[in-house]
Amino acid sequence: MNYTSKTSKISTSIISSNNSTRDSLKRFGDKRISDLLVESRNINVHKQRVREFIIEKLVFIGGLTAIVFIALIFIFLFKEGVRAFFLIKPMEFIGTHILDFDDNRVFACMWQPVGEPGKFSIVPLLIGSFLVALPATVISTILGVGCGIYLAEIASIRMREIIKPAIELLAGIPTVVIGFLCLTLLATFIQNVFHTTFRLNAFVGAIGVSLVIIPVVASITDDALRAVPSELREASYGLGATKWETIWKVVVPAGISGITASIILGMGRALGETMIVIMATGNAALVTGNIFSSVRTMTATIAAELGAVPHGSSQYYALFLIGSVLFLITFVLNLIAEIIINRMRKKLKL
Amino acid sequence: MFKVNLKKTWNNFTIKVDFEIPLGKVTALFGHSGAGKSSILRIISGLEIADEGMISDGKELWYDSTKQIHLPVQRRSIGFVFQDPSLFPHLTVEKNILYGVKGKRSLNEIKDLISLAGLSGYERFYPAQLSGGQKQRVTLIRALVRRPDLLLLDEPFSALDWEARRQLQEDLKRIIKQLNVTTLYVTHDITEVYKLADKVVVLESGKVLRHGTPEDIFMGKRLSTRIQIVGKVVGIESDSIMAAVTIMHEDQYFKALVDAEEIERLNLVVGDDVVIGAKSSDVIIFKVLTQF
Repeated sequence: MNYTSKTSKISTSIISSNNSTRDSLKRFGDKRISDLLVESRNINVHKQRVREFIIEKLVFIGGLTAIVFIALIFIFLFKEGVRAFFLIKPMEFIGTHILDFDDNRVFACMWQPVGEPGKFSIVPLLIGSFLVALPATVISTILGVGCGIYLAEIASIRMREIIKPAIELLAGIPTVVIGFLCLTLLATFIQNVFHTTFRLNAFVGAIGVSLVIIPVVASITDDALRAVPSELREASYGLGATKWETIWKVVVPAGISGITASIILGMGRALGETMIVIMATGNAALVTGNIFSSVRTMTATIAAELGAVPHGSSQYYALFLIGSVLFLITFVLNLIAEIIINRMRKKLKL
Repeated sequence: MFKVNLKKTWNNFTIKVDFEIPLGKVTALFGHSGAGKSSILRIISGLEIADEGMISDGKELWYDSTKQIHLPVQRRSIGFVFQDPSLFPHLTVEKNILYGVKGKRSLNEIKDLISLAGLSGYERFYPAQLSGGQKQRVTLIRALVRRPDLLLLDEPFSALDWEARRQLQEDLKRIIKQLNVTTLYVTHDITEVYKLADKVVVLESGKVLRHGTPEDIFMGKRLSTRIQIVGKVVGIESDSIMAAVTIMHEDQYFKALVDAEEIERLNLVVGDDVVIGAKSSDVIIFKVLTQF
């Protein structure tokens, strides 16, 4: 019996006939419809390539502009900031020797730029900024992460549809409005509850700032947790874990890189917040560890003073130096966040 | 004996099944994709709720629509392994395995399980450091360490390459036999059914088509002395009278001569899963080809 391959025979015949016809047609300068189709397709492919090339370059330029802008801001800020060192001794940015009321020479960290001589210690401003930003970060971590967990894991679809837009609305309130509320209502309430010496203090500012960061933290946490594959939750249930055990032992650890990112981003936002702190923290440049004391943050100082300062004076450049320091701090914070997240990603391959 | 009787309707798809899972045996739920296999598994595990029906493990009701009983997943004595590894990425192999263990269990017992799965020495590794096959082993052990009444496997090896799959199939068979655990195995791979299952339930568009032993189901009748080759058709060469069918069984190629009519009757095409079976006296043996 003859078991020749039916299929292979057919396919070879197709190929051979194809070749021969194509050769013969070429010789007569003729074109088959299929050849024309191939050609038009080639033109299309070419058009597509050109379009892709243009789009690719446009996107590249878009990415590049962001870097260029950051670099330009960086250069301008530092160029002006560095000139402060030509006018003011570096040591003076930490503190100066002054005479106290008993005429003793003491070392003091003071920000009194318009005095004679001006005192340019940025220590009270740094303390002020962190005294607002750290409590604000703590508050917004507790509430924001909690809110994110609720949204991603517990809330019903209907609840989610109500709460998520509400949180986003909170992020949309102008900071000056929040500052206004803090200044008028919250400050009085806090003073009545805690009997504080200063009506406007770091704690009032921290609460106000946390209102701005909570939506950021909550929404990034929500995204991070929803990205955790549902197989992990189901596997945990299947292994006898309750909903809470699943959330704490599986979902949150698996989404920890996103949560960490949200917290650090929130802290960056807290350090940079200006309007609320200028209205709610009292703006007294004190060296203190008490969160119920009035403080003056770096941002509030720049915002309040830069508009009124003579161009080219010591104070002018000192303010730029403060801006540079603030920029550096947020830059380092973001860098740390990036490193932490990358390390976790590598370890967990998420 | 587990009894499963369910009905569930989605927009345009209905599952209505009634079958039993014998204790200590491996039951395969076989069907093409879209037949509702995985959904049935999810309903049995409690991750989804059926519209009506009853699931019982022989002693206790897990689900009964008339009595309004629905045990949550956590209370059902099950272990499941999904198609994709579902290991917790932030926990080591050991911690993953111990995740579901409540109270004190003898560490020796767990060590035995780990070595049974060939995972000794990997206890401190993170899932990201393991291969796909190793991950599925860990998932399997994690499911088994709780000594579940019912082990649910949803195409656990389909994401693995052939070699890892074969190795795991053998290990799975060994482990299941040794622990004598009742297993429901979802697959669309007929080779796996033959290898692992004692009983097979064939599903088609949400309904049980047939059930019985793999031989009964797939060969239609029992042959007293028989040779079986299970595999995938990779080539059909035929003229009007005879056909040569090449099948691939794991990495081996086999060629069998059959009537050309038979090919047409079965509507056999390349890619089909087949079992070639015959009485030994009727068999014409070709030498095994390892290459074409």
